[in-house]
Amino acid sequence: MQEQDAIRRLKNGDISGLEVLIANHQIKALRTAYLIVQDEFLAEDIVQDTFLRIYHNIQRFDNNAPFEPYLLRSVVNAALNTLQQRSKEMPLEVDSDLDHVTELVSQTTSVESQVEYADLKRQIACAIAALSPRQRAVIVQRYYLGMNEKEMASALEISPGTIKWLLNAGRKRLRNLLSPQRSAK
Amino acid sequence: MSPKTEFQILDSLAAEHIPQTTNLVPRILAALEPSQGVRTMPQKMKLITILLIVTFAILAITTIAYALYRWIGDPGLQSVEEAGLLTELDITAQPTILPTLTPVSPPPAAAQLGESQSLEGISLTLDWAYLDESRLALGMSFSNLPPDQTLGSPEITFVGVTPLQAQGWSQSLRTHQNQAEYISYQLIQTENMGDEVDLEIEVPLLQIGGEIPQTLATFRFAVDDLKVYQGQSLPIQQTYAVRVNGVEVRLKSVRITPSASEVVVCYDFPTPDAPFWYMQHATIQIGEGPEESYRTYRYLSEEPVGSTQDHCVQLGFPTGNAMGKKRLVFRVHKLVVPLTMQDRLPPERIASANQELAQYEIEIASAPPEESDGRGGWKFIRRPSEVFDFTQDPTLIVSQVLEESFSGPWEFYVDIPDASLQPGRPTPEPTPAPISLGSQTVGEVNLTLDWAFVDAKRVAVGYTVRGLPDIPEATELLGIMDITANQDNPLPWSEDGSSTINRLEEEAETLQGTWSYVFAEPLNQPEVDLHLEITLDNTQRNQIIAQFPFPPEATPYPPGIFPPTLPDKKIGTFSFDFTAPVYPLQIIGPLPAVTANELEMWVEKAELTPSFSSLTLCYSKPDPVGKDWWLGRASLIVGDVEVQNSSARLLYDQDIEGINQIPPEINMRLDNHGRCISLNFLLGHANQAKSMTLTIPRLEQSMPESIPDADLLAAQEKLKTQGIELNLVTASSSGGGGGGGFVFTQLPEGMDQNTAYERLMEALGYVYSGPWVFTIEIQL
Repeated sequence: MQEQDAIRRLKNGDISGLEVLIANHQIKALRTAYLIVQDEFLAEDIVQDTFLRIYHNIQRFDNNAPFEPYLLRSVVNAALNTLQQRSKEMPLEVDSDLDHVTELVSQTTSVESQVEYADLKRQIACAIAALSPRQRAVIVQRYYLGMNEKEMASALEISPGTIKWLLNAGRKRLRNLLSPQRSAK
Repeated sequence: MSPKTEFQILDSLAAEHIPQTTNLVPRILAALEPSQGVRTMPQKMKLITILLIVTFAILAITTIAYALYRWIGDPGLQSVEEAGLLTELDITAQPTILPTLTPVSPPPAAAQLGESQSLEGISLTLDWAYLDESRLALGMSFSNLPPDQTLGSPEITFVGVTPLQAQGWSQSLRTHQNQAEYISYQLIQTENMGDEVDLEIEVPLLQIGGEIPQTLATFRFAVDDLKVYQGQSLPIQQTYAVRVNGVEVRLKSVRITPSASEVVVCYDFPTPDAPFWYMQHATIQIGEGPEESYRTYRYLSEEPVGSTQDHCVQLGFPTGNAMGKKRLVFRVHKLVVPLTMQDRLPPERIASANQELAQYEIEIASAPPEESDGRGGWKFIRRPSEVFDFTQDPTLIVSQVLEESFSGPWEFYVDIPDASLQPGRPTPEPTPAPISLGSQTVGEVNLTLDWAFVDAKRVAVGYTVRGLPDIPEATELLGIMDITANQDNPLPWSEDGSSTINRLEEEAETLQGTWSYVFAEPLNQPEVDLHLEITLDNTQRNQIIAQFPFPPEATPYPPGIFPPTLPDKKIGTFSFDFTAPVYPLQIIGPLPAVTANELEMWVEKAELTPSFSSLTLCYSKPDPVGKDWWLGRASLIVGDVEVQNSSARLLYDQDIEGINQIPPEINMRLDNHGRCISLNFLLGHANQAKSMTLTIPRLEQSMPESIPDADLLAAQEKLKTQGIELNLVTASSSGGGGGGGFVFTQLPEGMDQNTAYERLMEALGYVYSGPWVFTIEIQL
């Protein structure tokens, strides 16, 4: 069943359309949610709730629009909302940790050995875990979902300038900080 | 290592916590309440779009078997025999030593390897390997394997090649002989890769006895430059997928030891609105042994055994293959939606269950979980006081009635690999010796050619075979019959023919048979010199000379289970030269048209010989004219003998490109949407009959590849009122085989399958009723 056909079926009340959409997109949606909330069980709840919301609001969905961006944007927002409800501290401060992560992630294209890759992966995991949820959402949107800055700004309802600054600020400083760490190992 | 993208590293991080096999479908669908007005469309209602998948692997056998079954009993030959038209033979011939046929491509022998390794005190030798485009087979031997250890299934890496369409594997471990065979089914595309492949093979040594086997060590072998045979020569098969009313079950692996068996199988959920479907009843049958239900059950959804949509289970059976059986049958009988103690079924569901439970003297009522007698929120109001049969346990019966279920069976046939699987093992060659005219001996087998008959349309022979072993279970005589005009002048065959074979009660180990085929073009000479070769050979199961009559009281062999072969080995080729008169062809027509149900039909041409009739019929297709209106179950009566047509061929159709030019032999003008069909009958005038009667009872649309869901449901409902119930089933096999069609699960007493199928066609609206009856006068 094609995706548009699945959506059409779902709009007609045929639940098998929803099954197709879940099967096609659940893994990326789950991993997106996990990268933000850092908890696989919470990620499953978030993706489940997102699909259920989409199911209830499917009549408003434009058949001609691609489904995946719509779903993943919903997942990112649902993940942020969930964490916000759990903890009232959801600042949008930008600290060097974000720069640290962006720098680490940007280095993934140049690692040459399996050992180096595993080490970098471990560092990125730790660095991402140390970010605030909002900051993790920025990383996920930019590097995992491949969104451009304009799309990210629209999705997170912040200005493109802030996004640009979020992603670029401090890279040079971090590179300097990071190099001695890695060369010392 | 190759550089990683940012996406890849983030995906890899997340994948450590969210594996690819995670599946939220059941829990999300379960979270949707039907009361919200959702209209569900169960998968079992999504009927199959492909009605009949036909590929050569299985169909080569089934088609020929069906054709021969259809041809058994040949009134045409009986008539010419009674009319004294057979030729008594006076021939001289010498037997021919095998091989007489040159294979298209000789099957290769397995590569002999003999590589050994010793780990943990156990020695494992990879004895041989064989690879063709769809199968990989390995033979291994081992020593010092203690009872609490076993060899796991090999993990195979095809170096530099990506196998496609993996369709499962099977492994047979014969501990009492210290041998194991493994066969996997996948497609290796040989284009652009040469004809050799390197393999890396890992065989785990497992400690058994605990809940989950523990890997003690891993044997590793590298097989370089293994030849890929561009064909299929292993006589071994395994059903891969079976679909019953739209619900598919896929067999992933079978592992069998002398004492136990293990099956991994994946399946669709029959309805998406249930949170989970449980494989409640599945059995294994080894050889002709009893069916055994599984004892261990493990759901594998969290393991990488398939795509994310797969629901897979690993089933353990307490029966193995100690007796060296060749085949097993795995059956999935029933899937159910299990109830939980938290479920609370609605009162109307309890009420309808009580109607069914009354026959067991059971009555139940809704109950909260703390008062429930079973899962689903119910308690007994009435129940039998004493139950001695555990299958009649009231709680079990109530559960079976309350649980939503979907029944099969889904049946899978698996050839168990054994030592004889190894390709290229030498077989003994027989020594032939002629004894007399018209009779030859090869080894201990003697074949006599008794008579021959030739007319312009057909050649037939009768023969007697002596010296084959007496195998009452054998259902077929295997081998090849071939006739040529002489060594340089082959006679083209048509699709028609017949064959019979019978055991002589009065003479042990003696068979008597007939065999005939129809020429593609009629002979026009008064006499013909012919060369006949009869090869008795059991090595190709799809080459059948004849089938023995099937006693009505006998139980048929189930599909995929093969009876013992006759002959039981390669015997050889018997060849004869003989001369016979050719009885001429008579052509009549066109005949006056006949009208029935406002549709006109006529016989354009009748080609008649003593043993065969070919009739060309023309008509204009009724509405809807775009459909493929065919002649249904035509019959020909000559004297007191009635036969149905043995074959038919579309000659002309105004609406089909390529055959929309009126053939020159058809003279009458055809109306719009005209069609002409040639009908063939294995019955002629036998140089005696003065007339024959042709009856066309009705026209039928051919069954479409895809029947709309609503049409089939409506037909099923209509048939149910007539006492007919049916399933739509398809199956596919590893190696490309497959088949499918309708399976009637209930018929009224006395109704046969053909009649039921006609009722189905009528219920689907695929019938235009006649009859059209023609009388054909014959001038002898």
